Amino acid sequence: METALPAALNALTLISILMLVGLGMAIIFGMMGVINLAHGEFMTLGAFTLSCIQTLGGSYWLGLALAPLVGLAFGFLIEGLVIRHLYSRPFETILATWGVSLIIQKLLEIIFGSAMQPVFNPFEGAVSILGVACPAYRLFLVAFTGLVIALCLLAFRRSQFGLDLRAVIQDRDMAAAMGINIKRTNSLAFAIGAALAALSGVLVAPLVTVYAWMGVTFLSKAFFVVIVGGTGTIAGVAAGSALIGFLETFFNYTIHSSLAQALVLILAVVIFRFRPQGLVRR
Amino acid sequence: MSFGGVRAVSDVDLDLEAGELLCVIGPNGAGKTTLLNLLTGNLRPLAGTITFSGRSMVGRPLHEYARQGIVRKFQIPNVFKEMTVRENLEVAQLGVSNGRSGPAGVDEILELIGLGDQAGETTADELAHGQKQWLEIGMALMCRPKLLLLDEPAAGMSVEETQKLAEMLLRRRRLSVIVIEHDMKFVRTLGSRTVVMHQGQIICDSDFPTVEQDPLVCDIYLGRQ
Amino acid sequence: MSLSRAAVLFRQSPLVRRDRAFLASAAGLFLLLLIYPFWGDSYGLSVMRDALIMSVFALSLDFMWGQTGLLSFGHSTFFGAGAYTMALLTLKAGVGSLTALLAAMAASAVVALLVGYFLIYAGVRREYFAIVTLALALIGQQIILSFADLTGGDAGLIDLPFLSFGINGAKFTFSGDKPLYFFALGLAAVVLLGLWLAVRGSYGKILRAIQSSEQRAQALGHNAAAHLLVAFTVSAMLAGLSGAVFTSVQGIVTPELIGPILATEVIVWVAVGGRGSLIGPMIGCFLVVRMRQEISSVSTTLWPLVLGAFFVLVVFAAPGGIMTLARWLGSLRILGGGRGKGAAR
Repeated sequence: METALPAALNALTLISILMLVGLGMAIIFGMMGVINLAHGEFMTLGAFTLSCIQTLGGSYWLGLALAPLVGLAFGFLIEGLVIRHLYSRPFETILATWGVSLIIQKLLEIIFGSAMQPVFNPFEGAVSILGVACPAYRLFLVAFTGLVIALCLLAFRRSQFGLDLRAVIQDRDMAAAMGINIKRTNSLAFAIGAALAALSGVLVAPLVTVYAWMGVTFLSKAFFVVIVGGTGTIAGVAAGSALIGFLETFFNYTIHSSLAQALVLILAVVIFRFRPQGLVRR
Repeated sequence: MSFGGVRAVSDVDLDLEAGELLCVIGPNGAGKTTLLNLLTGNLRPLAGTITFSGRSMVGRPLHEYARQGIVRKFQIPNVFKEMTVRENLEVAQLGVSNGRSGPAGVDEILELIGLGDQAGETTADELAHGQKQWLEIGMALMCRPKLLLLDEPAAGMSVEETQKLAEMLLRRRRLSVIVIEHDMKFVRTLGSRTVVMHQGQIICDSDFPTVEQDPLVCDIYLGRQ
Repeated sequence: MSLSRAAVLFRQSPLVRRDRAFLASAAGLFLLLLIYPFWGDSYGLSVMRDALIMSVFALSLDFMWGQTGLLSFGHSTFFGAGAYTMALLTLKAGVGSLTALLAAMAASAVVALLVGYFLIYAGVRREYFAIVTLALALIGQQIILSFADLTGGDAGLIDLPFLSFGINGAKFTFSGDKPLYFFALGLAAVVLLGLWLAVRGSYGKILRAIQSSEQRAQALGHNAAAHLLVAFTVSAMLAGLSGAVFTSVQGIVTPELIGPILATEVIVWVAVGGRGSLIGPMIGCFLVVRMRQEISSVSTTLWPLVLGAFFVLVVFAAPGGIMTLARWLGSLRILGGGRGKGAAR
């Protein structure tokens, strides 16, 4: 129990982060077919927003509120400049977004330097659950993420935009014929995906080292979440996050940590080999 | 074999003798191409067996089929667009026969399909539709097939070309052929055993003259069913 | 695979105009490179030497990307695997150069076979293949960094032994500007020739057919997945070879040799030079490496930025043919019947 509970909490934390990043990626990749290698950078931007605000004296909560907006803004920007022109060319999208990723990383490095950015944890202490001390921040993170995901689900199912998005995914031409503005829907979807990634960046910032190229590690994890979980459904993202998050935490505790990453990669590839459509069917 | 609820092919019981020529006709959607797909391993049957020369073919990897001697010519010409005519044939030659017949073998086929003068420089993409059909037939022949499956070979061909194809098929030796066709004149010229499919089933299996006269077949073609 | 089958695969067709153009430009290039030591200075010599070894890396990627169409986005995994294997074996285990080189190639081959088998036989192609191989590079770098006591972590390993080969007890060590330069030149020449023969022969035709239409190739009896896996493995082995040689020549191995930046750069070399033309990527390598030197001397952060911008530009410029350079090189292409297509596909 001494280690099990914190370990479970760690797993839940990772799963939550993966879900947020994965959700953004599932919308962009799984539903729009766009492979965005700069997705990790949206996360980095969120973390950097927090760091900036806190360095200027602002609170964590301000950062939490602003980061998604920053993500949204950059999402619109990149979609309009780059992604929009490459919708039917997935391969070119990879190359272009990789370029964008490098550009953002290096620009951040030039502006802020390559050192670690300071970030402050709003909940320093620990909460006692069943007699075991659990870091309060992680509890907050898991709870908050759950809330966000629930809101997303609701918006997806009930809102006009959610309906529009689902229509576009099902049949682009039909949706256009019915009067749905495809360009705007895609643009908004991409931006929301970016916002979610930025949000995950803020949430994860107090727990990791924040530096210009932190997004890259989460990028590959997010892809595996989406590929393994099955593209196209929120349930798929949940399943993928749960599996990858659990596996990685488990391996982190039992074996060398970057061997853990390699193992997760290998397992993901093997799973993909035998179940190319993902764990959860569309 | 079903596609999401529609039985594309069912209750098909077909036997083919070595060297036999079989025509498969039927209205659109009758299941002819599906049948072909089953025979080449592109689709797996839900039930039943497919045996060739005594060997079961179900579940084998795709490249096995050509090696066993089953070669197909696709309905829509599927050639290697960026490669020259000669190279297309060379690739076909390398597949099954492992290039045994050498450049002479390629020349022979080029002669047969009438593309000899364009072999070296023209890319497959630049050919006319009918010429692409011939190229595909040539590629299929390069594999030295035992069973040749032709999916609407006469489509897009001129009258002379269709005649030439019919002659070629009739002159064959020891090669079994299954032809799916819409062109009735072509089928009549071949004048062989004909099978009529409708809604996934075989409704008539006899020589062409008999089939032509069959009232049920006429009804179907004239749309009374 | 029987010997006769192998012989068939390497069978060459008679020389065409395209081939003569290739041979002419290759001869011209190597002639220039041969006389370079006599007017270049020591520094310039070492730069060209490194570029030549890197060009072997470029060739390995071009072989795979150009012929099969599969882009290995993390090809530096194999380069780095070869480099680190070589470094560790020669430095820490005292293994001889030749054995270590072979081991380096074997290490890369093993990784390629494992990853490749699961991906290729699952039908993973195009963008999915690119993503997974990218993840491979990221993880490869991670692993190297964490086993720091073995690999020297961030700083890497230094003082690696020189390349030396023994024949009948006589040891021949490659050290000093000119010997190393000619070794690199010889290596590049051999690899270029070997790949050229493979590509213009029957094997290349089969690979390009698979790239054109995998289904059609299979319907003709070709085991597409097996061929792709072999191409992938050969490509990885060559990358490993170049990595091993590079690190021996430099005397130092660092995690940069296995990371995503290098993986990105090699793609740029091939794209700039013209995918599928073999000679093009070599020249692309020389040009881009030179460019990197110039820009990095101003600021080390600037180069990745330029690289990133380059990637974006490449994509948008691609529809009309990537660069006039590539189009000119397009006439030298040995890609079967290719009409100078844009490289970034």
